Amino acid sequence: MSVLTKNQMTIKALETKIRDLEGQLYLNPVTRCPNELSLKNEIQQLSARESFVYSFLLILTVDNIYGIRQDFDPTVADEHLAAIASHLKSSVPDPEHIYHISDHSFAYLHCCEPVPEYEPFAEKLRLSFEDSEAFIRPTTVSIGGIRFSECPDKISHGPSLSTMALGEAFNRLKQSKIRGSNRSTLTNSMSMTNENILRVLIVDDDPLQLEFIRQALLNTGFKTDIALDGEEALNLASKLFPALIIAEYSIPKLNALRLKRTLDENPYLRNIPILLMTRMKSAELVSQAMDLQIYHILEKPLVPREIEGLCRYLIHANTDSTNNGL
Amino acid sequence: MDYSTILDITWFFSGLILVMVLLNIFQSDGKAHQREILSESHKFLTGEISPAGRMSKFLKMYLDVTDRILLNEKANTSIRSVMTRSGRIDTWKQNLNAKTAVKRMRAALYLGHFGTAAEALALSERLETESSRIVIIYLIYALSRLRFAPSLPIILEKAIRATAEDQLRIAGLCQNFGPDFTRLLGRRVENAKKSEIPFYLTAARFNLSLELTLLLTEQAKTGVWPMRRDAAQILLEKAPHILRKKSFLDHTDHDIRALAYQALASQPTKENLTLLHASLTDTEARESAIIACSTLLRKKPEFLPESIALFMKTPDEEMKKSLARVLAFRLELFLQNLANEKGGIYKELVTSILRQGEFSTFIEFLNATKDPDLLSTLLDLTQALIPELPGFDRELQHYLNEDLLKRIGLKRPELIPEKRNLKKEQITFRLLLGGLLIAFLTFPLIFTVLHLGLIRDHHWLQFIKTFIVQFNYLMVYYSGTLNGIYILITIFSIFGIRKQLRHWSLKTAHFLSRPGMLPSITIIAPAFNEEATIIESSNSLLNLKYSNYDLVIVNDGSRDSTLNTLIRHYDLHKIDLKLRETIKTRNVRGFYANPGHPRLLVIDKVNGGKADSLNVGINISNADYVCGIDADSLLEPEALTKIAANILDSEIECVAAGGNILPVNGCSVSRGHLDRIGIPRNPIAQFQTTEYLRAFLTSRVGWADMNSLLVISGAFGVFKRRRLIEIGGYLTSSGKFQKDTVGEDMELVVRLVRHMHRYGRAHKVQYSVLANCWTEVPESLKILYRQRDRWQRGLLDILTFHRKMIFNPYFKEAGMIAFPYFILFEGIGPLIELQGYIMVILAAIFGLLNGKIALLLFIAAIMMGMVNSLLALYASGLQRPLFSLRDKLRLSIMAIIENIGYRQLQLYIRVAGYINSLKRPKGWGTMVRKGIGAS
Repeated sequence: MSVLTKNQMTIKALETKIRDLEGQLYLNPVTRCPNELSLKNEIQQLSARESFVYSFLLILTVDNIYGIRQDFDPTVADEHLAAIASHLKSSVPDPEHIYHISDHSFAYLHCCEPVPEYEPFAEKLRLSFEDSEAFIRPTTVSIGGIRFSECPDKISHGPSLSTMALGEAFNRLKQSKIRGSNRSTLTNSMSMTNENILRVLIVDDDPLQLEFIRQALLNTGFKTDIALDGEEALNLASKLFPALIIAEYSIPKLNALRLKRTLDENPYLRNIPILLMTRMKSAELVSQAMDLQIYHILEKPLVPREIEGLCRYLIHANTDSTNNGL
Repeated sequence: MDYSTILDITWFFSGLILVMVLLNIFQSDGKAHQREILSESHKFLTGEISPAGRMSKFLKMYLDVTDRILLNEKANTSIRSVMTRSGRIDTWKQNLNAKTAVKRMRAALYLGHFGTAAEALALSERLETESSRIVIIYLIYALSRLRFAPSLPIILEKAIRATAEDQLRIAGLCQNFGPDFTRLLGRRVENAKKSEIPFYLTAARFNLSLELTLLLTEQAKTGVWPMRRDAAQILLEKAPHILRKKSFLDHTDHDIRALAYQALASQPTKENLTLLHASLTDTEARESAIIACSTLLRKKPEFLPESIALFMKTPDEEMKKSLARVLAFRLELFLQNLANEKGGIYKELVTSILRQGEFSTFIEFLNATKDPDLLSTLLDLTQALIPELPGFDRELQHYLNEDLLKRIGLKRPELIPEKRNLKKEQITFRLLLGGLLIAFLTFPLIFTVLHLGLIRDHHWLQFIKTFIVQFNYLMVYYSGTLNGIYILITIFSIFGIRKQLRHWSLKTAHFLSRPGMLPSITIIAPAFNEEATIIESSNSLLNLKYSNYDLVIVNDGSRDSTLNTLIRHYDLHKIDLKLRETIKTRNVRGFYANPGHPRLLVIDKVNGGKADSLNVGINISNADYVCGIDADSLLEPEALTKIAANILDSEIECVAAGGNILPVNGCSVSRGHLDRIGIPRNPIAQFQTTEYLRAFLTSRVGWADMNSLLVISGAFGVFKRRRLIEIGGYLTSSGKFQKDTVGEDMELVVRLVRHMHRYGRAHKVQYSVLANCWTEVPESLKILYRQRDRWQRGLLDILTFHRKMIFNPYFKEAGMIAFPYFILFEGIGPLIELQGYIMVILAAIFGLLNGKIALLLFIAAIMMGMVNSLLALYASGLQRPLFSLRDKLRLSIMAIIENIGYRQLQLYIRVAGYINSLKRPKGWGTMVRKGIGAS
């Protein structure tokens, strides 16, 4: 054996060791659940096992964590997440395979005997949240799921399995969210329609201004929704998944920048571009907006044609990234 | 007066009341206008708009629309041609020379929208002769919209003679002229006269051309005092590199040097740090040097070892002291290192920092630390330092944890009442007693003197009976006069409110949002034990629709976790700020801020009461105006804009302005935002709603128009900061006058007015009827009693404290109208009225009450009161849309029945307040913790 191969062996051994260590290290500090990386590893290893054919993956996301973040301390939100994790662990047959994959999304990978019926099991899990009284606020979840038997053969043993399975599950989760909160989508029944992509949410507390923007977008094929304050905007955004939000800076309850900051916490809403309107554009406001990745700030009075043009531009520029799920 | 006339009067009043009720219910609420615009809006967008119907209505709509969108050329041309054809433009041109200012303002505004070169010429001609400052602003606004460059020399002429605030506005408006303005300024600057320089400096704030930079540099170097500082200040903002030059760092004026140090800090390099280190020995500008140095270190923490090394090395004691203060912001880091082996070198540093009075960080660290070794090291250090540092033990006693306190052998102090100034109290007591005697003895004495014959000829019982009957007539006159005055003021107010509405309709959002147009305002919200509500109210205060404001929350030594709640929620960090102690206050323990919330500053200070907290806010503010509010009151988003627009309208200097206070009970509120306006369910709160509308909203407009407004509620009032500093801020026991009062809000206005009169400055106290602030009112009689008792005591306290103003023509309307009114009708009036009620009851018992007196009393005391209440309700309804139809009906009913029962209750409370003031004042000496800040 040459020195070179020896070295390669050592490197490989080290890499596996590192991965093992990472697997142990990568526990979420709040919920003590393993993270997304561990889930991906697990899925990769799954393809070699017998249980692969009947395994399935569920991704759950908590619908109203933002309300709790808004109203309570961050510590309360953390406790809430921990409570959800423990509730999950107690209601599945295999608590080892609960993963905390992003801020408020969890995954459950079922890969052992006995095999529960896929769809009823998911529904039961979802409903168990509604009935539970362990949470500080009534809590609901949305679920997206995939059975590994759905995967095409070519992919099932390839390296892209985990990406594909997770991606598909996320897409289905997104469909559940689009239909409203507290839903589950477990099969490939619904496809994304253009209608959802072309929604524009307008936020302002001035009805006349809202009306003008609505009129400006009337004949462009965009569907418009309106919200009169930041809180309403947040609720609508997480329900409707608009392709663009046009928001006045100073709106009641949450100003536009804090609205954006809250949207950023949600991986599904993070990519929605925001068009900011203000009465007085100041250097401070612009730099704050740029920090939050709001790149378009219009000063009132608006030019209707500009709104329309920017809408088209922003939505088309952003369509690709929104289609990518996360 | 015979019986039938009186009956006729009764019928007349009954009819009047009925008409007023109907008037109130069917008052227009302005929603029709909104609906109309919404239905017409698409026409404005497509440009197929042709003005039809009433032109004034269309113009109002036009202003609303152009505030939100820019119309296309088609719409603009068609509207303009209609305006020309219908002769509107000619009318406006004529109106430019109209007598009333509002007409001239309106004409200027519309000509700015529709005019062409010919109209611009008319505008600039008018500008030459115009003398009203607000009309000048409107004319310049119109000219800047039209970009009529030939008018610039005239504008410059006007600007040079304007006040500093107006110069800022005009300079802001002139930016619209673009290069024309810059070129003109460039030419004029070269041989500028001294009187012109302030305006050029103001213009440099917006756009720094080469010529202006040269002027600024020259002014900052060799100019006279206020301009020299202003110039350097602008350079610091716009071109700090100039200030970093050696000539400024070695300038003879320490103010300039201070600014130069700040300029150094804005560019964090090692050379600048070395320069700043050297500047720490500058005795005159040390404070600024220290702050600049620590700002730089904060930006570049990697330079920290340099400063620490210098601290260890330098033999200079002064230098050591200054460096200790520079490094104080990293105290926690040094404390962490104390327990290490190398801790020795930090010990000296920590001791030096503590010697500079940085106790609060240290105590917080002690309270938070979990490491037992470190803790014992620190406690040893503490015990060693206590005898050495004056005031350290007191801070520890108040803020250290209970068990840690025990470990170092200290105890929490007891509460002791503050010492009272007995001599002053005696004077007050005598004055109040005098008032009481006057109220109770004047009429009997006059009666006895006039009817001496009666005593001789008749039985004493007959004498008393005659007295009672006469007193009843007196009561009729008294109530009649009082209610007559009320009604008169309400009628004045209706005119005042209409005037304010007319002015507001001309304040387009575009006009108000011009840079510099509205003054900068600092909102000061004192908070004492408000952990439950502080987040909600601060959220509401951070979401106001006003471009130029900041919020200072002053934590007044709360015992609960108010401060920590704020720190956690907004993720605040402790910062250094230079606090000018222009008003003496209790000690400040720290400033907290977060760059992500640039508008918010939280100040933590030692407990000293609301007035003291407001004074701290006044000290820290840099704004033109400060706005004092209660931490639990809720501002409407537009309230500040409306109050500032009102200030803008004042021809002479506006030193204070108040806004409406309305009861929030019954409204639905979420996250500090008023979702729905309603009236309370609780009857006591409902009565207060009508009372607030009558007494605060309506009558104060009338008082303000008579230049006699002396009351601005502490729940929402805006004051000119410069003047507040001149008078020494709110009255506190630690301040200039060494006196506490329960009515600090009214006292402030009185002292402000007195001060302005003394220096012969024209001034105005405004009342903005459009700006609303919503606040919780008591729903139980007990709390209502306590509140009103406090108000009455506060009033009497102020009347006696400022007794020199009474009937003093030197103080003009305030001394001749407002103060006598307060004494006659608010101070001792209730005592007379109470006697009146007793006499009426006595008369009824003796059977002396004939129908005539009874009816007259009913008209004077009750019916006129009802007319006034309803009139006030109508006046308040002009500021629409406030309440729904059903609420208006309920309020009308309340306005009628408040005159039977509720008014008498108030009378009782006021008399009780008077009597309580006479008692040895147990409620006056507020409980203050022992000796904090006394050193």
